Amino acid sequence: MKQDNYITSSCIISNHTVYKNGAVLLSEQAAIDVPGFLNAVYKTLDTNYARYYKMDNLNKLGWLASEILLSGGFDKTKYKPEDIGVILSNRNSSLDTDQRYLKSVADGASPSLFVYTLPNIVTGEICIRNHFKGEDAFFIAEDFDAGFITNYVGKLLDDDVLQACICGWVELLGKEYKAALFLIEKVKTGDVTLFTKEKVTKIFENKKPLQDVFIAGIGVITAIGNNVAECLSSFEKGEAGMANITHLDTVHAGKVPVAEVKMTNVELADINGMEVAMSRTTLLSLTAAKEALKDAAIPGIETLRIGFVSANTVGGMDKSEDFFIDFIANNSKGKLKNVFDHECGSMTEVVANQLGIKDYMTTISTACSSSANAIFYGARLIRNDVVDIVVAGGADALTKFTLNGFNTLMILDKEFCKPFDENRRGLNLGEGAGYVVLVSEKVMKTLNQSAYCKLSGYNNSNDAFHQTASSPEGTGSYLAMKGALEKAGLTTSDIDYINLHGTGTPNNDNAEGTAVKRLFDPHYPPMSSTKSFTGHTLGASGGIEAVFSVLAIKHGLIYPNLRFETKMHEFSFEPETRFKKGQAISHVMSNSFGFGGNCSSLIFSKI
Amino acid sequence: MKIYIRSAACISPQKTLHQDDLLTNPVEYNDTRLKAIEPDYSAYLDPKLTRRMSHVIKMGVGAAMECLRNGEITMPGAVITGTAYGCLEDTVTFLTRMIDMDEEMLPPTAFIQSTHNTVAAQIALMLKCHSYNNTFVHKGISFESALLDGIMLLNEGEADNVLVGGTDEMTDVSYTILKRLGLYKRFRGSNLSLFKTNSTGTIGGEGAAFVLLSDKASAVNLAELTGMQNFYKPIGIDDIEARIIAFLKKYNLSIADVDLVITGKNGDLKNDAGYDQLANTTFNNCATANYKHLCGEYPTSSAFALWMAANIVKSGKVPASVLEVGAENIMPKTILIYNHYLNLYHSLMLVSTC
Repeated sequence: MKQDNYITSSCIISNHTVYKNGAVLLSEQAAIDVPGFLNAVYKTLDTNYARYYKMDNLNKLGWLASEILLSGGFDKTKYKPEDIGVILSNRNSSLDTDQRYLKSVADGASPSLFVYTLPNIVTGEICIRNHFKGEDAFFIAEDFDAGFITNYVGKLLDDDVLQACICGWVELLGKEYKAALFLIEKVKTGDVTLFTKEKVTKIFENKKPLQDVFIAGIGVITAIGNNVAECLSSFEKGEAGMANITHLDTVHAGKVPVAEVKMTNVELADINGMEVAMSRTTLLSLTAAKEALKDAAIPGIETLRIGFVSANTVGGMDKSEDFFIDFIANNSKGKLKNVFDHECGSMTEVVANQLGIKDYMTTISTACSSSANAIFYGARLIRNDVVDIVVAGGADALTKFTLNGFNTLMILDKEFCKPFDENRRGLNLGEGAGYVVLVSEKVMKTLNQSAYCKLSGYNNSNDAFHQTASSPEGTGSYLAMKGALEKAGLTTSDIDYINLHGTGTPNNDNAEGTAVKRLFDPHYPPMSSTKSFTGHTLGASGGIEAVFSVLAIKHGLIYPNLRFETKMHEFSFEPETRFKKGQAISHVMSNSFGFGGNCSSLIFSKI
Repeated sequence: MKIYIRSAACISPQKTLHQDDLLTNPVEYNDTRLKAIEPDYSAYLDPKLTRRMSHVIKMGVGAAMECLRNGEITMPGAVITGTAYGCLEDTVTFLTRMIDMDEEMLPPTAFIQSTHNTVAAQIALMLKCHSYNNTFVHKGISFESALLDGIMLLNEGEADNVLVGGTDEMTDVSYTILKRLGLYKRFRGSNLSLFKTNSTGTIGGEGAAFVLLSDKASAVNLAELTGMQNFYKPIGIDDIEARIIAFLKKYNLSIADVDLVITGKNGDLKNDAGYDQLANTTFNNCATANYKHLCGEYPTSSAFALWMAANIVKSGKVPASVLEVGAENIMPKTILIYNHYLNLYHSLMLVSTC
C-alpha cells in the first residue's frame, strides 16, 4: 500500500504578494514593476546571495519562492543530498528570457541571457543553492496540473527515489507571473496537510476563504403548525399532520391522506392582509417569510442590501386549475386573473413586494430539492457580496395537479407514510413553507440576540440516472452529502443528526439509505424523516426541514420518525423513533432530493 | 478574474444553430407569433429519446449539446438553466387530461416531464454529468439568475466550463392566454418591420440559447463576459440611466467606451418608450441594435441577445438585420446589452473582445 505523503510547507508568490502556508508574508503596491517587486522580496530575506543578481526574472521568482518555502523549520540535514528532488512546471518555459535574448542578438548576443534560455535552470539554481542532488525535472503544461504533480512526485517518494521533494509551478512572462511551491515529505511533522490533488489545487488557487453565513431568523408553516412554536409542540407530542383532504376539490378526497396546512385561504389571506384571490402558495410563502424576518429582528435593516430567494414547483397552479376548467371549454373564457400569476416567479415577486425586498430576488425550481438549493444560493449571494441578508426557502401548496401527478406515478401511500420502514408503501403529499434569514458575519454582529447557527456546508449533485427514479447506488445523494461535508470541512463523525429526505417511497429510501451507508458505515448518527409529520411538501421541503435542522441545533433536538416498525433489511441502521431534547447537537445534515436527479444536502453548524 | 464565453449556441425562429453566417438573411414572418426553427435533432439526440420529449426539452437539450460541441467540451462542470414558463406543453397536456378525464386513468409521462428542471436534468442525464445542476424560474430574469449563478461558481472556484442557458417555449395555449392578456399586436405584419409599426403590443417568440462560461483564456473563446447586473422596479428613466452609468463605471468604462448597445426593444410603443428616451440621452452617440424582431418577445430572450453579442464580438461584424443606428463594419470591442421585461426587471450585460 502506498504511504501517505505530506505538504509540510507551501509558498505562493502572485499579485505582488507572498504567502507562506497561506498567510501573507509581504504585500507590495501594484505600481512597482515585476523586477522591482522581486528585489523587494529579496531584501526581506536577510540573506546575501550574489548569484541572485545574475538570474533572470523567472529564476529569481523560483529561487525566492524556494527560499521562503524552506525557511523556518526545514532541516535539510535530515536527508542525504541525493534524496531531495525538485520537480517544477510552467506554461511558457523560458519564453520571457528567450525574447530578451533574441532582441540582444542584434547588438551581439548576450551570454548571460543565453544561459537562462532553458526553464530547467530554475531547478538548477535551487539545487545549487541548497546542494540538492536528487531527481529534478521541469514540465511544460498549459495550466498547473495538480493531478500530474501529485502522481509524479508521489511515485518518486513511494518508490524511494526521493525522501523529500520541492514541487510546483513557476511561471513568468512580462508582467504576468505566479510561483506556487510545495515541500513534500514522507514524515508527518506537526500541523501538515495530506499531499492530495485536491489539497494541492486548493493551496495553488489560494482563494480568500469564503465568509461564514449565519442563520438569524426562521419561519415555518406546515400541517403540524402555523408557526415555529406550534410545529415544535407537535413534534414533542408526536402528532402527525396527515388527514383526509379538506381544502382540495378532488376525486381523491377520502382515498389518500394528505398533510394540509390547517388554515383556509380566507384565514391565511386575513392574517396577512392580502386578497383571498392569491395563490395559496403565495399566502403560505408570505406567512412563513414574514415570521422569519420578524424573528431575525435585524437592526437597521433598511440600510442593508436584502434579497429574497424562494422556491416552488408549480407556481400558481391552484388558480390555473380553476382557469383551465373554463378555458378548456372555451378558449375565450376563464378569468385571466386566475392565470396571471401562473409563473413560479410570481409567487416570489408578490411576497418580495409585501416584504419590501427589491435589491435582489429570484426563484429556483428543481423539484423536491428546490428550497435547499434556494437556501444555499442565498448563502452564496452573501459570500459573493451581492447582498448582506437573504430570506431563503420555499413554499408549495397542495394542488390537484401534483396530487394527480404523484398518483399516476403510484407512489402515494393510502395510509400515513412510513419512511425508512421495510414495509413502506409511498409518500403522503403535504404543503407549507419554510424560510431562514441568512446574514453576513457583519450583520450577525449587530444582532441583539445571538444567531441560531451557521450554514457551514452545502452541495448540489446530479444523480444522472433517470428523470424521476433514484439510482440504486444513490450516486447523487452520496455525492451531495459528501460534497457538503467537504465544504464544511467536516467528517462523517462530526454529524450529530441527519434530517433525511425520507419520502417513504420504496425507491427514495432505498437509494438514500444506500448513500448514507456508503458514506457513514459503520458509525451512523441519529437520523429521521420529519416527512412522517409534515408529509412531503415538495418545493417547500428543503426550507421547512432547514428550519427544523436549525431548531435541532438551537434546542438540542432529535425528531422522531413516526410509525417506524421494521428495519429495512438492506441496512444495519434504523431511524430514531423518540423525540429527544437536550442532546449535544453541533452539526446537522439536511437532505433534499428531487426529480431530474437533483440532489442537495445542507449542513448547519453550531457557532 | 476574467470570465469568458467559450462557446454559444442558439435555437430560435431564425437560422441560428449553425453560425457560419450570423443573421445575414433573416427569416421573415407575417405573424404575431414566431416559432423556433427546429433542427434535425438526430445529430444530437437519440431518436428514441426525442420521441417523448416536448418542444422546449428538445430545443434546450439540442442547443446545449451544440454549445458544448462548439466549445469542444464533452463534460461541463455545471449545468444551469433559466426558464420563466418551464415545460408548458407537458404542463398543459397533464392539466387538460386531468380535467377532461376527471382525474382518473392519467398517463404519468406529461407530469414527469412538466417539472421546470427537466431541461437541465435531461442534459445531465444524457451526459451522465453528476455536477452542480440548477434551474431558475424567475420571469424576465430567469436567464440572468442562471448567469449570475454560473459567474459565482467560477468566482468560487467551484466549477469550470459552466453551461448556462435560457429556454422558453410558446404553445398554442400560452399564446392564446398571453394574447388575451394584451401582450401581442392585434394586426399581423412583417417581423422585419416590427419597429415601424407604431402600435402597442409585441410579437411572441421562443427559443433556447446556451453559453459555456470559463475562467480560462483560450483561442476558442468567443468573448469576455465582463459584467452582468439586474435591477427591479427602477424609479423612472433617471434611475435607469444612473444605474447603467454606475454599472459601466464598475468596470472602469464610460458610455463612450461602448461600441454597440443591444436593446430589448420589442415593437410595443409602451414597452419601447424607455429605450427611445435613452436613445436620445445616454445612448445618443452609440451604435445601437435590436434583436426581438428576430426571435420574438419571451422572458428568456436575453439569452438570444447574449448569444448574438458574443458572436458579433468574435466576428467583428454587426449584422445589418439587427442594426438600428451605426455601421456594419464598426468591429465592436465592447457591447452593452440592455433589456427589460415588462418594465419591472431590467438587465445589463457587458460583452467584450478577449
